[in-house]
Amino acid sequence: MHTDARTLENNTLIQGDICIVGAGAAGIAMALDWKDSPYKVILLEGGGFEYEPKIQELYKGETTGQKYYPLMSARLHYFGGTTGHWAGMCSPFDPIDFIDRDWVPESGWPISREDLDPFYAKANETLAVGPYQYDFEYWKEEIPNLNPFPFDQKIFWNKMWQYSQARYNELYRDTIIEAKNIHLYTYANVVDITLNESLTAVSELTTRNHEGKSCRVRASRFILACGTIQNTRLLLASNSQLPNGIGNGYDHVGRYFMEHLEIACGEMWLARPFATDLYSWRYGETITSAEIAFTPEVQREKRILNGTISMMPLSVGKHMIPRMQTWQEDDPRESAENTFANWGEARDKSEEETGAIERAFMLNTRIEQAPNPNSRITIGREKDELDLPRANLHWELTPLDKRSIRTMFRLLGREVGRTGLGRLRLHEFLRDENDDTFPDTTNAGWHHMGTTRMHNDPKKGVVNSDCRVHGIGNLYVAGAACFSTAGAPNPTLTLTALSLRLSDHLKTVMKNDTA
Amino acid sequence: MKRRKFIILSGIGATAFTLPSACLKARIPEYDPLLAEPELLSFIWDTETMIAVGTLFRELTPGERTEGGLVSALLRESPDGTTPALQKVNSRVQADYEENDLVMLEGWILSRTEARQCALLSLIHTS
Repeated sequence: MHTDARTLENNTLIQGDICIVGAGAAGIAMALDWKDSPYKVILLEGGGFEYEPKIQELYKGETTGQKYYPLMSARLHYFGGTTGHWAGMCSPFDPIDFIDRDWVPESGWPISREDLDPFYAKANETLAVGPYQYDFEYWKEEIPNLNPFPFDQKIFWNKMWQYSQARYNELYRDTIIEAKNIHLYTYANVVDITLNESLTAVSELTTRNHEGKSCRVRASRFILACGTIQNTRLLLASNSQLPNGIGNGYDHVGRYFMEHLEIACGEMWLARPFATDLYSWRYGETITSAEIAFTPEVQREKRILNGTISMMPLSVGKHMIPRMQTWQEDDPRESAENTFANWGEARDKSEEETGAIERAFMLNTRIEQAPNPNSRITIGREKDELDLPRANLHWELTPLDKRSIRTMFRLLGREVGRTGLGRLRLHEFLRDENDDTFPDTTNAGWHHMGTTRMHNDPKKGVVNSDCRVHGIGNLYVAGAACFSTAGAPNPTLTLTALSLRLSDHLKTVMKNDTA
Repeated sequence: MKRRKFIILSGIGATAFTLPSACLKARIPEYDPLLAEPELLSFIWDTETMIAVGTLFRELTPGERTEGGLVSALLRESPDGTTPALQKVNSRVQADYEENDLVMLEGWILSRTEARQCALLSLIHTS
């Protein structure tokens, strides 16, 4: 079922069993998991089914610290969320990402990779990618010409990716609307969370739209699934009963904002031609490809973060402008246009490049950001058109981030030389070992993670291992905001798996309620 | 640069250093001019790049600024005379990567031996 909340009477009361706030990757995955169940699911989406500037504008906010994209352009605000333009890169986090690493402050999840494995498999289906198989050996049997570099396997391994083309607006819109037990409300922006008198449970949510109409939403369980920044904003802004916001008794809500650093860090020049199909990717064509990853043993020995290195022809890469420069318009469509235009120019210019550069590659890192309490989302004085305080981002990186990247590239540089493949050249910003700074050209992946981090100790995290907000019995967070650490891969597969795990937990909880 | 072109240029370099080499015979060991040709780098760099990198190495490495010093360092690994010097040097390049005896010049992660080869080349071209 679907209702445009703009058509409802002001102050309409909506009631259901579970209420999911946000129809993006996390919210839709959860809603689908409840399809045909005996429970009434309310799915609230702030936008409609298409891009609308005044809806998108609700995401506007200031950024300080390390240069970042305009917040308004960093997510999409309509049914399907950012799956509307994502690149579809899927790969699970590694087991080491979940453990407590003494060299990574605040690392360690209260769950393991094994806990997530069944849900990763299910998430692969939701995201319409291939089997839950991310081992190089598996894909080598499936696809010919996947030729790995002859690197020392004690240091390096091939981390495999699969590529989704799922745009949830197209893929799941009809399924959601036609589901009898799912009621989708569009133009229902949640602007406040009201707790019960004892401040231990959510009693209702308030939605608002540009037409000035509000709704009240009541349910047994509430799940915030509207993206890391918006989940955080909502918890902080719902401060009429708790001055610091909901779930923020220990000042953790909004802290530990993490991104993936995706930066061109060097060049690899091969002495002789090498078939690099395994490491190549073309949108819409490639089923699987690999990035060069670092073993847990070498991460432990060198005390570095987890990350990978990908490659693209240098003849193209040398003409590409960092995305942090081309993606600076508030309107995500304009930013995308600028970025794609540059990529097109780069491809055109690459055709004029000849000689040894034809065997050369631009190397890009993809690495987790170390958890850092000073990297954070806050709410400001300025409010949006629906009277909700805007979210601001202070993005801050640490020396560990820089040292990890430098170490990764030095290890690879040595290995490329040792194997006689060629030689590696570091970009200038990595050469000085005493320089911990990152240039303004440092790209991020548009991956927002960590601001309601998972920890079973309420003094150290916002949600517990079931993604429930500490101290609030019926409020949950779905999505990458729950990540305790960021892993190296793009977050969508993992946040989908985590949301499906939450869904599974809620089914048990609801069943027990009924019993 | 193409290897053939590089060898020709190296030959010119060899001629260029014949005279000073002869004058200082007592201090500079005899050597094959190809010693100043880092084999793998010749597949990916042009001569100008090698000279620039070699010049930088000499600037940053006070003890290895002279032809004699560089040649001695390059030939140090082949005292037995049974293995050709060039082959020894190429093995040394490989060993540098194994042993992490590397230098970074203009961002390039290089074997110390091939950096010395570039430095020698830069001297040849300077003279």
